[in-house]
This record gives sequence, C-alpha cells and structure tokens, in this order.
Amino acid sequence: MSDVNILGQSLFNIIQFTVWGILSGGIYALVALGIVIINKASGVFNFAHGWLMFIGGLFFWQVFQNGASDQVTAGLSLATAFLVVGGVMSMGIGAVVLRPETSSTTEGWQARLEKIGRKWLTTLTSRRFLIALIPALVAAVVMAFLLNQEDSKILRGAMAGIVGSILIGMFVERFTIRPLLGQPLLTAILMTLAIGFIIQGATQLIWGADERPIPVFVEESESKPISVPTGIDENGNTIYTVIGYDILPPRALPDYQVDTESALGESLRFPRNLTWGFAIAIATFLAFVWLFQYTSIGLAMRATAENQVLAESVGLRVRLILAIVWGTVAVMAGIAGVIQGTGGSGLSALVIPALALRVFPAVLLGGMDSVTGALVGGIIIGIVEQLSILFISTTAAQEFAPFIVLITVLYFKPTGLFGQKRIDRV
Amino acid sequence: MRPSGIYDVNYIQDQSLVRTRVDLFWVGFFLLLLIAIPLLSSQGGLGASIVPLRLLSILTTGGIYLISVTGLNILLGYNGQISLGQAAFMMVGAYTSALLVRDSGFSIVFALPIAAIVSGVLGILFGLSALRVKGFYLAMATLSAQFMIPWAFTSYDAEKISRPFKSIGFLHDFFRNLDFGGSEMIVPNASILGEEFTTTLDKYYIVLFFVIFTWIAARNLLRSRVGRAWISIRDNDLAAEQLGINVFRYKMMAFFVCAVYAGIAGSLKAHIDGNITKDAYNIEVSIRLLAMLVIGGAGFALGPTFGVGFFLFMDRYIVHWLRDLFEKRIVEVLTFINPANVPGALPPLLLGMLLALFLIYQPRGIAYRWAILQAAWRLRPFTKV
Amino acid sequence: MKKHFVILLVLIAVLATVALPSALANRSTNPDRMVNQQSGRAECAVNLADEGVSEVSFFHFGDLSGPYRPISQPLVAGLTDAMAYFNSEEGGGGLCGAEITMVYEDTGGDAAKSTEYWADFTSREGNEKPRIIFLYSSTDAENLREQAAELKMPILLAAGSEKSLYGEDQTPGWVFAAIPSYADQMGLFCEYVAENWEAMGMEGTPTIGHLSWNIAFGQSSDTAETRAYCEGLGVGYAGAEYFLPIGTPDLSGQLKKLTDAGANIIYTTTLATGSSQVIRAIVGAGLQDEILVGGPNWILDTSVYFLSGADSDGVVGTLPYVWWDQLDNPGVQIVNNAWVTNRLSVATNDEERTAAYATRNIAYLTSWALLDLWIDVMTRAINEAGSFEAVTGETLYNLLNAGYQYSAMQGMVEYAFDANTRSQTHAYVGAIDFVERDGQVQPTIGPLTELRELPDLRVGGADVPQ
Repeated sequence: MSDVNILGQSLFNIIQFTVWGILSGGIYALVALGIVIINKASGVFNFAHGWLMFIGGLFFWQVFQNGASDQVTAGLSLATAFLVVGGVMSMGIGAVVLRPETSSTTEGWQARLEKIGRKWLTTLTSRRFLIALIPALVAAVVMAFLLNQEDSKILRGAMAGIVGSILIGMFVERFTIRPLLGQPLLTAILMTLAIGFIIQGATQLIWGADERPIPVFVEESESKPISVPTGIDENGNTIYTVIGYDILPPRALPDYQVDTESALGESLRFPRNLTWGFAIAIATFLAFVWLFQYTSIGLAMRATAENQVLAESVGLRVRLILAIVWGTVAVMAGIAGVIQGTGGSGLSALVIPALALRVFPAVLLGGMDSVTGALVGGIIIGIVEQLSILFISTTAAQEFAPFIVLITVLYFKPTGLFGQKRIDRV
Repeated sequence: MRPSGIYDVNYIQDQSLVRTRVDLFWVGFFLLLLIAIPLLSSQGGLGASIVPLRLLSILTTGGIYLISVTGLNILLGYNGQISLGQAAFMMVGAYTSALLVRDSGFSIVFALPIAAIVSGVLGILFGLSALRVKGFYLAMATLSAQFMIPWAFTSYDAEKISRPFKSIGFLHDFFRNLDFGGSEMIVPNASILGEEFTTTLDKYYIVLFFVIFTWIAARNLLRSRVGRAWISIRDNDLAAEQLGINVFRYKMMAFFVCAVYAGIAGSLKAHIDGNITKDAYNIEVSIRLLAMLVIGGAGFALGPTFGVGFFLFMDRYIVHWLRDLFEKRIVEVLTFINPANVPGALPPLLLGMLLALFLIYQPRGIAYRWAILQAAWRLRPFTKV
Repeated sequence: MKKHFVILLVLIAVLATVALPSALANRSTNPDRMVNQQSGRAECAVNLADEGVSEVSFFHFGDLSGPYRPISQPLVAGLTDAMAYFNSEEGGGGLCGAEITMVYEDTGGDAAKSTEYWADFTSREGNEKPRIIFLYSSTDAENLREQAAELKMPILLAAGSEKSLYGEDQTPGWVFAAIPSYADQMGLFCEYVAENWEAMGMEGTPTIGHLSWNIAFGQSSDTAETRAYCEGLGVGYAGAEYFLPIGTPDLSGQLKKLTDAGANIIYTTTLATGSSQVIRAIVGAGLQDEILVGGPNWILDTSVYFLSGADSDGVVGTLPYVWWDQLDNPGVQIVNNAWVTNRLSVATNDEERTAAYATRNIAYLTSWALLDLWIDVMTRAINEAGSFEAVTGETLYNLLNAGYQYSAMQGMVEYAFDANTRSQTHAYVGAIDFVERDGQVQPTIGPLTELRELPDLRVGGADVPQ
C-alpha cells in the first residue's frame, strides 16, 4: 500500500496534500461565499474582498495584541447590546426590514420632524423593542465583564473584529456602492477596485506594511523581560536595558498528527491553523447559510437579491437590507482574514489580497450565484492548488492552476457547477 | 470648436479627422510642440536646456501608457467590454519583441508589428472563452490571462518543455533555445538601420512616432464600418444583431485590436526600460490602466490622453507634494501616523480616492467635462454650466 | 585619411605635453594620503561651500513598504541618524563643507517602479544629478545593470547576486555590492557545515534543500557553481523550492517535498517574513531538531526573531560585519549611542520601545557604514576632480575599479573593490542565539568562526571545482 506511486509521487503524499487542500479550501469556501452573497444581493463582483479580510483581521489584531482600553471595552459592550436589539427585533417578519406604512405627503419641516419623532417614539415604546432591551442589557453587562477578564484576549479581538468589520462593510456600502445603484456593471467593478486601493493606502498609513503574526497556536510560556546591551560602564562591563515583556512571539506548536503509519507508512499531519481554520470556516459558512435560508432577515435578503424593485414595492427596506448584507459579509471576510493571519505568513497586506483573487476561480467554478457552489468550488480549488504544489511547483499552484480551471469553466460551463442557467449567449 | 455658420455639407466632411481650419491649426500646433519640446533640452543639440530631461522621460512613459490605454478605450469605451489583463498582453508584446531583437537580430521595425500580432492572437485565445457569453465574463478570462501569462514566461523551463518534442527536430530546437531569462530579462536597445536609440531624446521620439501612428489608426478604425458596428454593439447589442451585425465577430475584433495595441505598447516599453520584469506587467498595472481610462473618459477620443496626463501629473508631482505635506505637517496633527509609512501609503490611497470620486461624481471622465466646456464656450453667453 | 591621422597624432602629442605635467602635479597631492587620523576617512582638499554647493544628496530608492519592509524601514531611520551624525562637527561636518541630505523613493518592491525611478533619477541634471545611486535589491540591480554601464552611473548595492555584479558575460560591471555575493556566502556556509556537522550533533550526510523566494535575490544562492562546490565538500543537494514573496500562505507542502528528497539542511535565501515563514513551517512539521536552518546575511537579523521568536534560535548565516552586540568596536559604539539617544530613550511606553527595538537591526547598522563609505568615495572623487561639479559617475567608477579599500566606521565593515572584485570578500559565520542572563532573555547574534575569506564562486571563479 505504501509503495504505490502515481506520477512519481507516493500515495501518502497524494493523500497528505489532498488533506491540506481540503483544509485550506475551507477558507476559500468562506471567502467565496462572501463574494457570492455580495454578487447576489448587490449585483457587484467584489474585487475588494481581500482588503475587507485584511482590515477585519487588523481590527482583531489591534485589540488582541494591544488589549482594549476602557473606552474600547465600553464601546464593544454597547455594540453588543445594539446587535442583540437588532437581532431580536428582526426575528419573524418584523419591524426592521419592513417599511412602516406612511402617508405619502408631508408638508413643512415641523410636520416632517414630528413624523420622524413619532416613528422613533413608536419604535422605542413598542413591545418588541422593550422585550429586546432586556436581553440586550444583560448581554452588554456580561460582555463588559468578559472583556475585562485577563485571559479573554481572543474574545476581545473577535468582538473588535466583528464590530469593526460591520462598520467598514456598512461604510463601504453607504458611500461607494449605494451612489452607484443603477450604474453599469463596469462602474461597480471599478468601484470595488478603488475601495481596495483606499483600504490598502489607509491601512498602510495607520498600521504600516508590517506582517503581523497572530500567535494563537503557540506554547504557553512565562513571560520574561527582553534586554539589550546599550553601553559600557567605566569598568568595562556591559550595561543591559530591559525593553519590555512579551515582545517576541512565543514558540509555535507542531501540527496535529494522525497515526497512519501502518496503512500509509507515514503519519498524516494537520497544521493547527488550517485545521481550526477549516472548522471555524465551515461553522461560519453553515451559520450564514442558516441565516440566509431560515431567518426572516435572510428571506428579505434573498428577496432583495432576486429583484430589488419588486422587493422595494412589497415594502422591504432595500437600502437597509443591503447595508446589513455588506456588514455581515465583511464579518465573514474578517473571520477568514484572522484565520489566515494565524498561519505562518501572519496578517500580511501582501498575502491576503492575493489570496482573495485566487478565490474567483472557485466562485466561477461553483457558480456565481450558488451557495453550495461556493463550498464545493472553494474546496476543489484548494485541492487543485495543493496537488499542483506537489506535481508542478509553488508558483504554478498560485498563478496557473486555479486560473486554468477558470478558463476551462468559461469554455465549457460558464454557469459553473451549481449556477443558475441564466446566461445569455451572444 | 467650430465657428457658427459652417456646416458639413457632405458625409466625407462630417467624418474627416480635421474638419475646419481652426482644427488644423490646433493639430499642427500640438504636433509641432511635441516635436520641438526635446530640442530645447540639454540633449537637443541647440545648447538650450530649458526643458528638463526628467519631463522628457515622464512624457515617454506617458506615451507608452497612452498607446495601451487607447487600445483599452476601443474595447471598453467603444465596445463596452472590460479587460483586466491589458498588462499581460503588453508583456506578450514585450517578450516577443525582445526575443526577436536579441536572438534573431531583427530591427524593431519588424519586431514590433510581429509582437503586436502575436499579442493579438493570444488575446483571441483567451477572449474566445468569454466572448460567447454576455456579461463581465471577459473580465474573468482576462484576469486569468493576467496571472497565467506572466507565470508562463517567468517560469519557462526550456529543458522540460522541449523534451516531449524530441522527435520533431525543429520544434525541439526552437523550444530548447527559447530563453526568457527567468524572473527578469535584459532587453537590448531598439535600433533602426543599425542606429541605436539610447538617449532620452531618441526614446522620446520613437515613442512619439508610435503614439501618433496608433492614434490616427484608432481614429480611422472608429470612423469605419467596423467602428460603427462596435459602437452599435455597445449601445444595444440586440438592436445591432437585428441590423445584421455579427456581434460575436465584432466583439472578437475589438478585443483583438485592444490586445494588438497592448502588444505595441509592451514592445516599446521593453526596449525603453531596457528590461522586462513581472512587476511591470502585473494586475496592478492592468487596473491602473483601466483607472486612467475611466478618469480620462472612456468612449471619448481625448479620454486616454486626459487620463494618462492626469495620472502622471498626480503620480510624479502631486504625490511628492502631498508626501512633503504629510511628513512635515499632517504627522504632527495625526500622531498615529508613522512618517515612515507615508511614501508607500500615499499612491494607492490617492489613486483609490480619485477613482472613487470620479466614479461617483464624474463617471464619464474628464473628456466629458471638457466636451461640455467646449459646448458652453461655443454657445456663450447663453450657457449655464 | 592618412593626413587626418597625422594631425590627430600631433594633436595628441601636443595635448600630452600640456596635460601630463598638470596631471602629474595633481598626482603629487595624492588624495589617498590625506586621511583623517580618527575616522580613517579621506580629508577634503576642496571646500564645497566655496563652490556654492551647500547640499549634496545621497540618492537611493527601493522597497520600503513591500516584502523588504522589515529590513528597509530601519534603513531609513539609520540613514537619517547617520546623516545627522556625519553632518555634525563630531562626525566630520558633512561632505567637504556641504550638508548631506537624502533623496529617496519607495518602490514597494515593484520592479517596474524601480525602472521608473531610475529613469527619473538619471535624467536629473547639474548638481541635482546623482553621481552614484544606492539600491537594495538584486532584482533592481540585475535589471539596471546594463543601463548603469550605458549611462555611466555606478550603483552601490546593499548586497548582490552574482548575476547583478558580473552579468551573463562575466564582466565586472558598474554595480558594487557592500556585502559578499550570495553565491560566495553559500560557499562559506557549506564550508562551515562540512567542518562542523559532527560537532553540531547532526546525523546523516548533510544535504541542502533550498526553500527561497521566487525572485532574483532568492534564486541567487542555488547556482551550478555553489552546487559543485558544496558537493566537493561532501554536502549534498536535495533540490530547490521557490515561493512568491507575495501571496504564499503556507509552506508545509514545499517543505515536505524537500525532506522527502532527503534534505536535512534548509537554506533559505529570503529575508524577514520569508525566513520566519520557513522556520514556522519546520516547527510545524516537528522537525526543528532534525533540520539545520541556514541563510545569507539577511537571516541573521532582528526582524527574523521578531517574527518567529525563540524558534529562530540556532539559525546559521553569514556575518560580513561586526554586529551590534560587540560593543568593543568603536564604530558599533557610535551607532549604538546614536540608537540609544535617538530611538530608545525617546520611547516612552512599551509599544514605542518595541518599535525602537525593531530598528536595532542589520539595516540600521550597515547604513552607517554605507554612508561612511559614500562620504569617503565622494571625498576622494572631489579631490581628484577638483570640484563637485566635475565629479561624474565615471570618476567614482574609476576610483572603485582601480583598487579601493576602506575600513568603514573604524573597522565595523571592511570594504575592498578592485578591477576584478565587485563585492566584499571576508565574513564570519554567525548564528542567532537566545541567551538567558539574570532572568532576562537576550537574543544575540554573534560570530561562530574567525573572519575568513569567502570562496570565489562566480561563473568561472577561482574556487569553482573543474
């Protein structure tokens, strides 16, 4: 069994590389899902997705690494409350995504102000809101308590990443995508490219272009001061100055191993970041699929994706829904960014956006409007990539293999494996 | 700008490139200016050094981009398709021309057209996959080209590729002797009739010649039957098909011409830079070329010129000024900015902001605004801009 | 035709009789003789302020925000501090009375931008024209090599590949590297491994697998010459895997391929993030005790242990200069004092101190030596030409080509160039070592061997086995 050779490679290697391919494919699937959802909802093919991943990861890193000040903790707790209110209120066919019935004419600013005031008053005194307020307050207090714990680094980072990503996603939607509603497709594509450039410049201005390792899969070690020689005293002895604690990343942990020695001759290895990344990616994937398929807000999103004008006419608040879509997709991107950052390359402005471009073949392979397609496409591209590393070379895996898949799809099945057959032939 | 009271009385007049004497004056003036500028530099031989060489070298770079963007303008502006692989097709032209000049001793007079055709044909190979279907699939196909072509050139392994052709002697030798130089390639200077183009001045003139040539070619193409077919497809492909235009064929032609223009620009770029690197033809360059076109105005004759000019002015002058401003003033106010990050951060930030602002507020570009201003001037004082 | 030739000869004879004495007269004030006793640098025979030149710029461009960033950002910090020092009275008062300034551009690792900035810099005129340009990357140097010769613009390179220094046709060109070429460094590494393999407690025959960046720099260690040289020493070759500096998330697969081929040494021609990625992949595979990690001079850097922590303990590389930790060197003392005053002591909290610590790296250190070298070369050139305006790239090239030696920063780095040599020729083998002292952890970088001459492993070099 262990001495079977295929094209000069042992069976073990082929299995091992396929496993790695599936694991890294999980992240591709998560990224692909984000691109598919944006494409369905806004009709925009998002070229800035990699940068959304990167900036989400940066929010995580910032708080994860440097801790949260009191203001940040308070802000995050408030944001939790807000999210809970939003979540509870939009359960069922509810108040948030449906436009309240209004009379069509209003005259004068006093009347208008009064109307807005009344609307808010109705909302704030509605039973739904009052019910939502209770769990929200509880959640905020619990969150504040948890965030203040010494060893809740990951939670702090995650909250910061989620809140930051939502804000960025909504910001992008509000100021760049919304003004372009109704413009040709090309304009929207270029706009996402422009967003990519802006995020690239802004992150570099604030955080610099450094790679930032996210040390999660590391050994626990007691922190020791790091010192450097800074001078020589009169007696010729070197003077040492302490720089600080925990400056250098701790030692990394080795991969998980599954004993397959008897069957394959070697043990299969599962890199920690890829394994956990795969698990988290798939869990996130399923959570969002649930959100889209089984909640009312998901239904509203799907309705908007199907036909915006129709959705508007049945009273859905399309613009709010689009903002929510962008917010959630940005969170998905941020999660993928953090997963990538825990790996060997760290959170890098050079690695992550390039990775997002390699997801396009996965999206087209799966079908541009198919959620299942995103999962299957992502995993297939992951496997294709790892096997090309094994059989050809690393550069071929990154710059050739995924794109030859893309071209093949375009030639033979432009709809992708699971896409709807809505493509017009010329 | 045309004075009132003068009308075209026949079709030839309406379609001519230079329609009035005023037009003729401006065309002549700019041509003379472009030809005369370098003579006033220190390499001009007149002893004057009023024009800095730096300006000449910027104009030369601009000229190369202009050719490439003109190609994109035909594809995007007049045929309504998007390409994210323009830089990759430039790379095809660059390598073809460099190999012909270096290994086969061709003059650039022959190398450049061959490079252009090769690049066009390769363009068709990628285009075929996407042009059958509507939508932005061409963007995806060209995106693949953008990754696959540079990969193929830079990781070409003569040993491996030639092995399967062992039985076919000439093919084996051909592949065996191809040398793309790995991750980068040094390119000899362009030469015509044994005359090498080495100085900044020479390079400026050779690019100027091709800029004028390609510009006239583009204008002529666009006022021919082909050009009108392209525009009709852009405006309404169903109607165009109804009129008996073979939509697929014409789309293919537009993409071919676009790639040919890329090939010309790439060939020139290789010989002027003196080298070919992956970075000079990567996805970012493709996006930048698109951005230039959109900022300049897609679908306008002057669009590429405005776009490239504006972009170079930003990139070479404004960015420097902003960098000074940031490093000296703004860093003091916004203390979270590390001055060391400024030089790297400004170009993408500025490009992104400009592109976004143009897309939102002036999606038809500078050329459109220019056309409105022209109209306003003609109708003065009865205008409201 | 003949007539013209005779006239030409006569003219040359007349010129020679007129010019030779004056040239000889110039020679008598041999500029090399006038040397500052303390710094060892050439003394000025000309005051540039009299000439109306108040500023002379040090020109450089390269990757400040791309993959080289962890190395090159401290370079700018180092050059800034070094400039301030050399402009002060204590440091020599500038370049012959003119203030030293710096003009630089960031390419972000984009070779196309390098070409653009090259065209920009070389098309400047008058006193704003650079006489020599400092570059950081082998890619740039390889690309611009021919043009440098064409435009007679010498390039000072931080460290170079064999191809950038001698080209395809093996002619010493206009590129001068401040650090030994990567092929020579590889040779030194093999010598060290062959000599100490047993002593390091390693098993089997040493076999090298290259895991490097897919750019000119990364591919410069693995040449036919180094392979032959190492095999001659009994060090085997397992193969090479190259990955892109941009966009490679994981190296498990590449490492697996190399270890399958029998590699027990991973030599990585990468820097900062690349090296730490390689180290992480080895730790991930649980092979840190079975694999020796080696690399060129860049692997012995603060940035590597900043990114991979104690996992980088024991990494072996080349050390062609005196490192920070050897404070008995007067040059290192000057640099260290400047770093403490300008960087460390202005930091007020942990975060800022960490940032300051990150600048205590290879580039900060060598930038001082480089600037010192530049001042010395420029001074000698100005003395020879008589004025700043008369100094051209050619003056500098001739000076370096004719046999130039300089012990920069009072013995921190020894530079030597001649008609045949385009890079430094001596280095130590060094390693990263995590020392614990009084409960404090102290990552140090120190030499493992004496300073020794590197083998000459250019194509057709003296030490390449036949």
